[in-house]
Amino acid sequence: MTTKPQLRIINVSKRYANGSAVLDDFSLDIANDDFVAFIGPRGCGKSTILRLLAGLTPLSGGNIEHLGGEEIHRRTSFIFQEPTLLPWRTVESNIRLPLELRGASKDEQEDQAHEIMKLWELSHVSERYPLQLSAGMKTRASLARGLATAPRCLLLDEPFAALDAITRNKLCVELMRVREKRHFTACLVTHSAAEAVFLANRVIVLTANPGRVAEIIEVPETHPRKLAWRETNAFQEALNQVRNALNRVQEAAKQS
Amino acid sequence: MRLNLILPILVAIVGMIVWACLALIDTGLNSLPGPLATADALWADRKAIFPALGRDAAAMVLGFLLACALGVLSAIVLTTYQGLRLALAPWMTIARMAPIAALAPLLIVSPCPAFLTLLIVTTVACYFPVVSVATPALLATDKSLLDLFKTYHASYWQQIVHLRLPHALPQLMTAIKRAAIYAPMASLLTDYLAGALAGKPGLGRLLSEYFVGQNYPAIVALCLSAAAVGVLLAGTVHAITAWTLMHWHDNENGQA
Ligand SMILES: Nc1ncnc2c1ncn2[C@@H]1O[C@H](COP(=O)(O)OP(=O)(O)OP(=O)(O)O)[C@@H](O)[C@H]1O
Ligand SMILES: [Mg+2]
Repeated sequence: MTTKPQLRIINVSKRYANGSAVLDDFSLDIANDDFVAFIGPRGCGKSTILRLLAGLTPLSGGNIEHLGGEEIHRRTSFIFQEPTLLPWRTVESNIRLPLELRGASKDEQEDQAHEIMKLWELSHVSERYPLQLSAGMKTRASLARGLATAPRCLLLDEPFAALDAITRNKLCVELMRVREKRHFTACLVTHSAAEAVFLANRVIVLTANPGRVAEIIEVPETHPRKLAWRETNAFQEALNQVRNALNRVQEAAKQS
Repeated sequence: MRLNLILPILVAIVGMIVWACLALIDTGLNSLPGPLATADALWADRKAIFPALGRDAAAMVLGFLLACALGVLSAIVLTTYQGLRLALAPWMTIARMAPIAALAPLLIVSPCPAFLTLLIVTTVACYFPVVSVATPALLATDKSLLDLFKTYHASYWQQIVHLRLPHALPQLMTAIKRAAIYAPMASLLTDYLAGALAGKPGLGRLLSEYFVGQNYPAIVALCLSAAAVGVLLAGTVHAITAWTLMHWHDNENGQA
């Protein structure tokens, strides 16, 4: 893993039209091929960070540098909490959508879609409509679509939040497997400390009102990680660190 | 599977028998002609009835299609320009509520050719229900899907074509179905009126001739075939909409 930062969030602040600061003086470097997880109290601005990174909402202050310039900005994919599949398109057609919108040739669309569907084990449902898919399959399709354009950076806003524990674990492992084949930087927002520790190299614990970096917990275990790793002491130790940090943040919020 | 074919046919046969009986016994309904007499009259006067009916049907279908196309196009324009939308909104509502066919005499007494008169009244009558439903439907696109398209850097037209229009399709189809019911009402009523008021050639003038000649079987034949043309249009549109939405719209899914 190279350590050249790919994304620099520098003294960023954000306030929405209706008032108080959601983020204030927020700074973070994200390295190429890094996997960071954001965790923190409800409403502390986790989604806002991803939306700022994706350019979905304007900054109120500070700066975000995408090293590599505009090109890298265009090569960012956003995975929303809901699968946001277009119900009138089949799975394959949904996965082709981002390629279609950027004017890729039919051949290229087909090649990319087929490759990514194979990677996510979606080939057998390629002709199905979202209405005919289970929640897990929809999330798979949404992740596959996010990777169809070969992004350099994947922004995931609680993509597994609505899934049951078994499916969620399975998809975590899949995500890691796919990341071995398609290298990308990942920023994950989650409410599950276990998910954060299992997936990320660094877990960023945030404060609320305004959102700032409270603590960063490093998880040195190499990728890809196996489910069995969750039974080890190293995992438990990291998990406890994250939980304690979260408790401290919550305590601090109560006192203020 | 068989029953849903056999039972309606049975109902039709029973209906015919009841009709024939009503015609035989003295019901006080001034000599209601029976099915056979009606069929005879239709056959005898086919050279007068069918061309007139054909012209009305052509105006009806053409007016309907024109109204759908214009309605959707104006809805796109209104979606794009908020100022225009605000300025026109109350007038659109009023126009939608006004029974347009009531204004038909204005056109009938104008020197417009008969076909053009029918076409204009039908188009106007169908246009307002389509715009008034299509505009809010185009504006009601899911926020998260709009965000998704924003992350794809989709152009405005891509957003309209690949997102807003298909997303609005279920409501559009409902509006179009409603227009398909207005179309025959507008075109046939206008033609009846045109014959009665201005003696213009067509179904209306035929009707007055039959009245004067007390040719009741021909009147029934003409009215029933006019109704059949309307049912044919509405039925065709219904079938097309059900087929279009079959895959992805919950309500239609059960029927398909
Ligand atoms: N479009 C908006 N307009 C105004 N306020 C907003 C908007 N989006 C978010 N907020 C506010 O900003 C704060 C942070 O929102 P954000 O969605 O980033 O939090 P979050 O950490 O993702 O929360 P959650 O854990 O519930 O997902 C919240 O208080 C929210 O009410
Ligand atoms: Mg959120």
